[in-house]
Amino acid sequence: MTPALCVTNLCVDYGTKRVLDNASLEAASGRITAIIGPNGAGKSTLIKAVMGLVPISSGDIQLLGHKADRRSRKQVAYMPQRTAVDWDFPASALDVVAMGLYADIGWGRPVRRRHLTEALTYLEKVGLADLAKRPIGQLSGGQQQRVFLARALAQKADLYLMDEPFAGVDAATEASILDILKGMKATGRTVICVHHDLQTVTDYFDDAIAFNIRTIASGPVKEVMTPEHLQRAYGGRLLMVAS
Amino acid sequence: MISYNTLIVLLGTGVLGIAAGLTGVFLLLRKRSLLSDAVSHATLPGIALGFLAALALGLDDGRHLPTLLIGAACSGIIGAGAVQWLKDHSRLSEDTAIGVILSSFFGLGIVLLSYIQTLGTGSRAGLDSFLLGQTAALTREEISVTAVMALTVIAAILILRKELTLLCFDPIFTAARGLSLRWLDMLLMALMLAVVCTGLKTVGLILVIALLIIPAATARLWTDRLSLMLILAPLTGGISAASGALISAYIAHMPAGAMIVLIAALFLAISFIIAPAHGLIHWRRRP
Amino acid sequence: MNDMILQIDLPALLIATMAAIICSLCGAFLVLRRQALMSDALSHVVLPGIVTGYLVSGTIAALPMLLGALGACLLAVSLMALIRRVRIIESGAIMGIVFTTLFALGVLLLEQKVGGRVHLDAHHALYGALELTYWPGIFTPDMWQTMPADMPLLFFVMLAVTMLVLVFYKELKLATFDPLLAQGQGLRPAWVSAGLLALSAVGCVAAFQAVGSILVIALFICPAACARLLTSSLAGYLCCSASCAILMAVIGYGLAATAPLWLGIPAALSAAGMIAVTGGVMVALAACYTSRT
Repeated sequence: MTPALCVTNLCVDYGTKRVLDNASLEAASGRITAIIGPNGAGKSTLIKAVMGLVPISSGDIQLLGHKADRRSRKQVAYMPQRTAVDWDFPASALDVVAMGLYADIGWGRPVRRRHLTEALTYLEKVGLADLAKRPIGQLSGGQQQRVFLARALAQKADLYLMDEPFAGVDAATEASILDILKGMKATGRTVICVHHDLQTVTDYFDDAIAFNIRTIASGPVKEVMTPEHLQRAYGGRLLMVAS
Repeated sequence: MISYNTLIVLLGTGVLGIAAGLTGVFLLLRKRSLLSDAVSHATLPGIALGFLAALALGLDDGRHLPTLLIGAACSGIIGAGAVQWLKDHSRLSEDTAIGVILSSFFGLGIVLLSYIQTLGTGSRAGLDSFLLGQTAALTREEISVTAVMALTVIAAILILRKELTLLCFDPIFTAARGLSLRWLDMLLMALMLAVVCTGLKTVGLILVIALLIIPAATARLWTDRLSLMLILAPLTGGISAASGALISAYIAHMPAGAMIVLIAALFLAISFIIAPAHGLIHWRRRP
Repeated sequence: MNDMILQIDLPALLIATMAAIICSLCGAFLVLRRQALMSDALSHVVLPGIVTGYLVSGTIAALPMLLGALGACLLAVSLMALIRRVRIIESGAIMGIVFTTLFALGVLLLEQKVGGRVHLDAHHALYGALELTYWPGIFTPDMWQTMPADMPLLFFVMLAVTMLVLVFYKELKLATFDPLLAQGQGLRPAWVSAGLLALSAVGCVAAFQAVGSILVIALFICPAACARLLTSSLAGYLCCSASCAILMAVIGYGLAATAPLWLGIPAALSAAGMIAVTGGVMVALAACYTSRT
């Protein structure tokens, strides 16, 4: 079975600084994979490079068995960090979810009522249908994260790349986001998350990739989450090892 | 009874106000409002060069509006590009880059104007109205140029509303969806430039940015919904522009540009107090 | 010819240099604090202040106009602070709202021409009148009587600004770099910030009379931008900013005076404009130099 994401010898430079150095990794199709590593390890950069948001210096990226380009990226939904946008923006929760449909609607065409109805079904899936008209600035952090998730669902992609989906949300939201991810897996989708909470990796994910500028270890969580691998990924900075 | 000429002027400036209100909403949400300040000041050298070019070609004594506007647009584009270049290629922040470009381009314009003055044709009088706006009534030609450009801007925004919204709300997501951020930003800049050039003759280059900023901010105070903002901003913009022009046409010593801006500011001041979403009287209710 | 240089060019250069030092010192801190465009806003709101001062007092004496201008600057800053309490509008837009409105008010007042005899010229206010500086008795016994009116004011403001920056150097540094730490040490960053804005307003008003609003903006921002690109310590930054400002004033004025001779056109070019252009070119050169290395 072809891996959903296959990165070979990827290098990315910001100015003179090398942020990704010959990174190679694979994420299996139909599973939920975590990318873990310390701050500054280049996890977000890796995702952005896959989505073509930062220029790559060298290397090769395969998405769902095809070379990463405009066409194959259409099958991929990207969920940025919640802090990446201005939540004071004058939009309702429904408006934001409808943004996931924009590519389907076609560039230059208006959003019609049936698109909004469709967007509402995704909002239902994340349990926020009753807040559809609420300005996004008035939602809690966890609700904002779920709106983002609903927008990602609306893209109807085969592969989902999420940057810190569990960051800054309460325990209840964390559980419901996890439910949604499991539901996505059940329908054959692949989910790859940048994740920072080592405690929950083994419970939440099937596979893990320990990453620091390059891949340290990858495979099923049990095999990756060993003290030795984590020590190598986090260097001396790791104070607490998940047991 | 309003005369036919006044009606034409009202329509022309009204359409300009609508276009500026619509463009302003997206500029405000993209947090680029003050870039319009740099661009509007940067049009001055272009106007002066356009004047010299028209003079050399023997068009209307140098006061050939299309040539002046083409010159203004060209130097406005160069100014916007220069701000972007400074921001990308140095450690200067955007506001500093804007200040540098604004003052140096405007300075160049003043140098060129002082040269034009030495030509001694008395021709500078026609260019002064670009600074502080027209005090007398606009001509038919000026109104038709205004209306055509403003309508183009309005049409472009209505067609590309969805894309501009995405750009302003979540640029990273926009890029991930395969849209070119650079092109969308350039489009927004082009719309802004079109409004600035259109407003030069009526409102003047120093005050035209008020038409872009104030109605959009007024609308933002009233609502948290973009669709409503896109109705309110052009509405207040259009009303301010038309009524300012009307007052200026009927009462002496009331320059149109200043009146338009002051009326728009009055709307903002009232909204600041009574607007339901973010007005003064509702501050206490919120935590 | 010699007399002309002494009586016209030297005083004009002196005025430009003093304005340059005042503006560049205030501007250096504004640029660091990402408030560069405050100078743009302040220099625009000076217009209604001056016109109001003139309308109220009925004379073109310097004092009422200065007070009016200062009042307008204070009004503008407080209006911005008031509107900023609505968190949803970004600070750039707030600046734009306030200064365009006040400037429009100034234009409207200017049109009224109450009294009608004395001519207050908007263009004079925008472009400045550096070329019109004239000091007939310079280096003669009656030089103090014939001194241009702007000169003593600029001199004292320059002294005051320099002294204040030197005395409060430490406080300004801390409050600019790390307002939270400053607060923890008992310094009130809000007061430092207000003081800096007040100082900028005074500097802006003083320089405005002599060199016009556009040159004020250029002198506030361009030297500081050059210094920002070329230096990395705060002391070096301030010195570099002041030196760039003086260099900019001298080169710009020199170009405006001599370019007509080279180009063979009859009259002088706007000195204020030329200084601003020089500032832009200097920033561009500094940016090219630093982006390559």
